[in-house]
Amino acid sequence: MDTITEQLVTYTSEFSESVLTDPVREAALRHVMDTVACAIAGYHLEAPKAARIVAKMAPDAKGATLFGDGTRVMPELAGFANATAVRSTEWNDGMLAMGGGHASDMIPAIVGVGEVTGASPKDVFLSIVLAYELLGALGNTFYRRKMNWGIGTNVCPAAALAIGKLMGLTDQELAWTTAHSVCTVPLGADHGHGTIVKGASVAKVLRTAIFSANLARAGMAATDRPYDGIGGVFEKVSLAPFDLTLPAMPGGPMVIETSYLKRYPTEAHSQALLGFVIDKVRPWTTAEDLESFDIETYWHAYDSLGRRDKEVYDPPTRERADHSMPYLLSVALVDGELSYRSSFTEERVADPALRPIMEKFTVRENEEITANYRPPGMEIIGNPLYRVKLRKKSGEELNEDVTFPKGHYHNPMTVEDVDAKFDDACDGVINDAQKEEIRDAWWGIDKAQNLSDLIGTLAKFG
Amino acid sequence: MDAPTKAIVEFVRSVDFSSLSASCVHGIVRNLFDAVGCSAAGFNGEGTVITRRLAAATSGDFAASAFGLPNLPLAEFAILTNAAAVRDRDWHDGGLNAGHPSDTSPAMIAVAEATDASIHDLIAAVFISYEVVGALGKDAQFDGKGLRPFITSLATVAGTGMLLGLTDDELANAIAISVTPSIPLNIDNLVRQSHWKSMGAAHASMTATLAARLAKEGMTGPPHVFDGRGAVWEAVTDHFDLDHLGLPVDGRNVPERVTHKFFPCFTESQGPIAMILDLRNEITPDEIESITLTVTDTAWQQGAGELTPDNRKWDPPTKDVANHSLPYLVAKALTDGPITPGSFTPDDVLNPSLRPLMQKISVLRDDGFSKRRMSVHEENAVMEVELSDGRSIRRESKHPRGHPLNPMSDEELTQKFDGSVARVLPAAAHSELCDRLWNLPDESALGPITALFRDFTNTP
Repeated sequence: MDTITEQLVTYTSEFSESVLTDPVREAALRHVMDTVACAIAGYHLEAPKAARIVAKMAPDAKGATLFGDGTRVMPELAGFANATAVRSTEWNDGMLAMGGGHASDMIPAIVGVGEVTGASPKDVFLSIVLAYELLGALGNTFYRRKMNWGIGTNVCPAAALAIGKLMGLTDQELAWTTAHSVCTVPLGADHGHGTIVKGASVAKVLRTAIFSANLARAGMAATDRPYDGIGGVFEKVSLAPFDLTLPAMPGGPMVIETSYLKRYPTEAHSQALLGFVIDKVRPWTTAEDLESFDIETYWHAYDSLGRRDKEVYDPPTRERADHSMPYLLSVALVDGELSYRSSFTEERVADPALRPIMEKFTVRENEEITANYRPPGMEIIGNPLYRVKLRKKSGEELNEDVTFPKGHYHNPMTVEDVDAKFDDACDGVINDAQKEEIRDAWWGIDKAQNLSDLIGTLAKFG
Repeated sequence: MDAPTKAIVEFVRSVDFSSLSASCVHGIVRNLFDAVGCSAAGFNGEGTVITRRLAAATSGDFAASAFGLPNLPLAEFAILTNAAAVRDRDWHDGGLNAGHPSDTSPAMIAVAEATDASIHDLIAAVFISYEVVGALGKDAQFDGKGLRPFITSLATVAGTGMLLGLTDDELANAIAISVTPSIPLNIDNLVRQSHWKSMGAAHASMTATLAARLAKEGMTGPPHVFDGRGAVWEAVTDHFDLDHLGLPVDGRNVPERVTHKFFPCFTESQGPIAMILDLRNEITPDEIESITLTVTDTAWQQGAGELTPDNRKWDPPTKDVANHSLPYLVAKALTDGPITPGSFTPDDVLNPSLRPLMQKISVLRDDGFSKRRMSVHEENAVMEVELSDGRSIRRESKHPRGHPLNPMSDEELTQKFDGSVARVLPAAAHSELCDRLWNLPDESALGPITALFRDFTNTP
């Protein structure tokens, strides 16, 4: 077994309830509840619909439940379809680690496996916390995005090991699970290119994660050196050996505490400026009176949201629009809100009236800000900074350094904030009685006795 | 749509059964026939058995037959376990510098069955998948890069996309979805082969089929999966083109240009094994002072490599290493005769009495041989044997039996098939399967053939 595999297996094997301090438990509950909200919000979008059609071709009376639909299907495909729903509104959580991702993508897969294995809600809850920690730790090791690997690159082993833990796999089986899970690597092309598969890109990886654990449980051996072996991760993916630290921040908070939640259904690096525009800029100017809005920021935000060659000034689709800083800030300035329902309709995305406003925004990298974006030892938490300079046609200027958005570790969303997001997600999708039933059930996952009762609340939307 | 995607889409659109020559159709029949025989040989492989257990637990509306399962599992799982069976013994076709094209055949058969496609459409789909494999193997551009499952993905999605009746846009999306989440790592395949060696292509074929079904249901994928930012050319391969896709070489299409393996081990071991079997009439193992084998770089990489503690090819622990170990294969053939599936029992593989002879074997690579392999597909190998009485014997091989320029006859393929299928089907069913497969283009339906797949058993 290579060193990284041994670390992952040992940490997973020894992971126990002792980590569930009050702050960890409270953070984990907020992330679980936020994920439930996102699953409901995304239910009606195209990608989850397509995913459910395919999943329902594999019915399984002892399988996992498709949220909102109620059909029980093969767990790989339930995890795939449910995670696609969670991800498709671009509203679920994430972390700022170099090779991290949207950690709550993993929750439907873990819940689905818990359903078919008869796991307790407490075990599922613990596996979720484990999955976040593994993803954060692996995410600290290499800059996945710079190498153009997909966002699911480290999600796969993190989720697979948490699922393996839930299945009660032996150390040998966990090692095989690790190797199976890293044998297929997602391309960066699967993310952020403006197509609906973006919502399914990590979901497909989760299907592989469940499959990997199933293969290992069935006895399928795999290499014991998936990281340092010939043709392995070091050679082909990270392009260099790396050290792994577990837990991700020794002596510090756990990853699930530091992962962010999103106030708006948009790309993470837009959150701070959206709050700034809605709360501070709108009272200061109208879109018509604004002459320019210049943003200097870290490379990652520029690359995700500000590159003209990524169609950010003329987004053709919802998926491109929610990754366009000019689009998002223009909508925020005009509408005073970003709604997953109204801000990304075909008509709004194509609205010609927004284009001249969008041209008032410029985004560029400031290398000094980039250098400080991930402080040593706190890479997952990050230090997002946006140096903005606004100018009205009248000549009046507003200069400000905007940082930690609502939902960031240093500016957390409260239980009330998450509840408000849940209310918004349910509006028009779930009736009030069911909404309260879901709310009561899932805020209590850590103390519930029966996982089926919780999942039952999500079986049918309507 | 980027250029490779467009080339595949346009090629798929151009193919139908009536456009295939009689010799091409016969080539496809030979390849399918051989693949089914190989699956019988691999029916009890560990990876096959594991995946069969997983498949048995599935069912659904999009279902297909799996070897040895009475009920129809989900088609993707039928593909997984059937492709694992085809691959298990390392006995199936190849020779295209792009892996084993018949890795994709279980997907074509399963999707044809699930969609109730005609036999002629199945043959056309197999043609498509072989041509894609062949086109990607041009100039050995991906040789040694561990990308065979990537090739399998593209070949599978092209063929299954045709069978599913995808529109051009749907097929383009399917191609993108098949590749983006699934760039394979070829971890340790050459030195520490595990079950997964037989599974990489099977898994790729499974996920590519799912990609085609997702696209049919409206799922879109990145529009520039090859030439886009963070896409295949940038992250995985360099630029390549598929302009030659579907074009015959010397009047023959890809299904007519594949290698069939006489012995159940890696392609370029076929010549050295044939040479040592020929020498077996003249010498005994006790007389051997040394055997020096000079081969292409590919053969050296796959069958020998540097003599290091990590490289198990010089002391294979499992059948999957042994069937890629020239020292083992040559020593075993000289000692016991022709290599068969029975040459890889744990007792055989670990047999300590073979080790002294294996240690007398050295394997060298020759640049000239490697160049000729790339340029004219020669599999040159030279065997020089020094005997204890001072004699030297030399043998050369260029086109071993099974090479496209020295093809196995239909009768030889049938003998190979019979040896394996007799172990999994009773005589009458065995004979029926043999007849139906040779008669495939004139069969009226796939159902009677796949019914025989379901009848595979350990107690025929």
